[in-house]
Amino acid sequence: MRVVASWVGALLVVLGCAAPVAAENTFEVDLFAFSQADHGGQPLRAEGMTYGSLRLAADLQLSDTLGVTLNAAGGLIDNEDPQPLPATVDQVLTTQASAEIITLDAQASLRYRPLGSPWGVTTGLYYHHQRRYVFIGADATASLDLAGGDSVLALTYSFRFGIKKPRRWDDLVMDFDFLRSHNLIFGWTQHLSPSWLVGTSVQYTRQDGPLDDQFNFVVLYDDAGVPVHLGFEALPRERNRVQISLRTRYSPVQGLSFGLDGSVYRDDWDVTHGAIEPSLEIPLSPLTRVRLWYRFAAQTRAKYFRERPTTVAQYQTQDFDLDAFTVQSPGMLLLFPLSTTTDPRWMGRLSAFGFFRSDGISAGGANLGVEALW
Amino acid sequence: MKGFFLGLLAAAILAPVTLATSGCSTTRYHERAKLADHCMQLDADPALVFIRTKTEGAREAAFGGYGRSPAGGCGCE
Repeated sequence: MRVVASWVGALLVVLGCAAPVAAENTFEVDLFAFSQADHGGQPLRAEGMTYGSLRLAADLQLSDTLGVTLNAAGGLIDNEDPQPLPATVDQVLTTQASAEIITLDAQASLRYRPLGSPWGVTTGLYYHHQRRYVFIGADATASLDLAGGDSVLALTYSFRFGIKKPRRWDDLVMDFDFLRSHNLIFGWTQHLSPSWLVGTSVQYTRQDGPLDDQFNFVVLYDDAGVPVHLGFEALPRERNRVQISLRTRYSPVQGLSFGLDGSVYRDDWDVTHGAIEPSLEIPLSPLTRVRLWYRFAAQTRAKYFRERPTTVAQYQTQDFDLDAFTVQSPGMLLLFPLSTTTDPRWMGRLSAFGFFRSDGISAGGANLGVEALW
Repeated sequence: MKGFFLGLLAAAILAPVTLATSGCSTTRYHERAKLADHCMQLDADPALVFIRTKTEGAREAAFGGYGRSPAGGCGCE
C-alpha cells in the first residue's frame, strides 16, 4: 500500500510541476447553456426555462501598476409556456407577459497597485439590461497585503441602482420604480502553511425599493381549496442580510487540492440559508486539470411566504425561492491546453453542473470556453 | 434582529482583523509554489463563477450564498 501511495504521489508531482501559470493578459470567449425543469413549486406558475449566452472577457495589464478588466455577455431566456389556469379563476388573462427575454451584461474595472506597495485599489462599473428593468452600478475594492503576502485583507463596497420597467405579469402597465442595493464585504485570506490557505468574509447587504417581482402572483382559494383568483405578490421595500463565509484549500502535492467552502446567511425576512461545498482538483497532465465539487444547501421559509394567501395580508408571496428547501448541486470543470505555443498560449475549458431542489425544481448547465494568454 | 446583525458584524470583522494584523507570517517566498498553483484558487474559473452566480445564486432566496459578491438580487447578477 505504501509503495502504491508513493507512486501515486510521485506521479502527481510530475504532472503538477508544469502547472498552469498566471499570465499578464487574457482574452476569453465562452458559450453557456442552461435548462431548468419545473416539477413542483407553485402549481399555476411555470418555472421551466432554457437560457443560452455568449460571454467575452479580457484582462489586460496596461503597465506595471495599472490593469483593466472588461466583460460583456448577451443571453436569451426562453420561458416555458404558462400553465393553463383553471376555469374557476375569475380573471383569466395571462400569467406571463413575455416568453422570451434578451439579457445584456457589461462590466469594466480598473485596478491600481503602486510598485512595492502593499495597497491595491480596484474600481468598476456595471450594467445589466433586460426587458423589465435595467441596472447600473459601481464597485470599489481596497486590499492590503500583510506579513509579506501571507495575509490579505480586502474591503469591497458595491452599489446597484435599478430602474424597473412598468409591465406586470398580467400585462398591465405600472409606474416606473427604482431599486437600490448596497453590498459591503470584508474579506481575509491567510496562508496557514505552504500547503494550506483559508479565506473568510463577512458581508452586509441592504436592498431598498420594489423587491416584489412583477411576474409573481399569488393564488387565492375558496374554502373548498379551489383556486378562484390571482392576487399580487407584496413584499416589504427593504431587506437586510448578513452573511459569513469560510473557504479553505489544502494541497498535499503540487496540482492536487482538497477544498471546502461553507457559508451561512440570515436576513430580516427570516430566511436562514446555509451551504457547504467540498471540492477536489486533480492534475490529469502537465496542463490539464479537473475540478469536481458537490454543493448542499438548505434554507428556511421567509415569514411572508403563504400557502393560503388572503385578501387582507399586507405582505405575502408564493415565490418558491422564498420557501424552505434543500439543494444538491454536483459539478465538474475541465481545463485543457489547445496549443503548446506561448504568446499566446491557448487553453480550453468545459464545465457542467446540475442542481436538484427538494421542491421539484431541477436544472442542468454547461459551459464551453477558450482562453488566450500572453 | 438589529442587535443580532450588529453583533455578528462586529465579531466577524474584529476577529480576522486582530489575527491578521498580529503578523501571521507563515511561509517564505520559496515555499509558495503550491499556494500559487491553480488548484489553490478559491474560484476555479471566472466563467464558472459567472454562470453559477447567474443561475443558482438567483434561486437561493433571490441572491447569493456563495461567499462571493452578488450584485444585490433580482436575478440580475
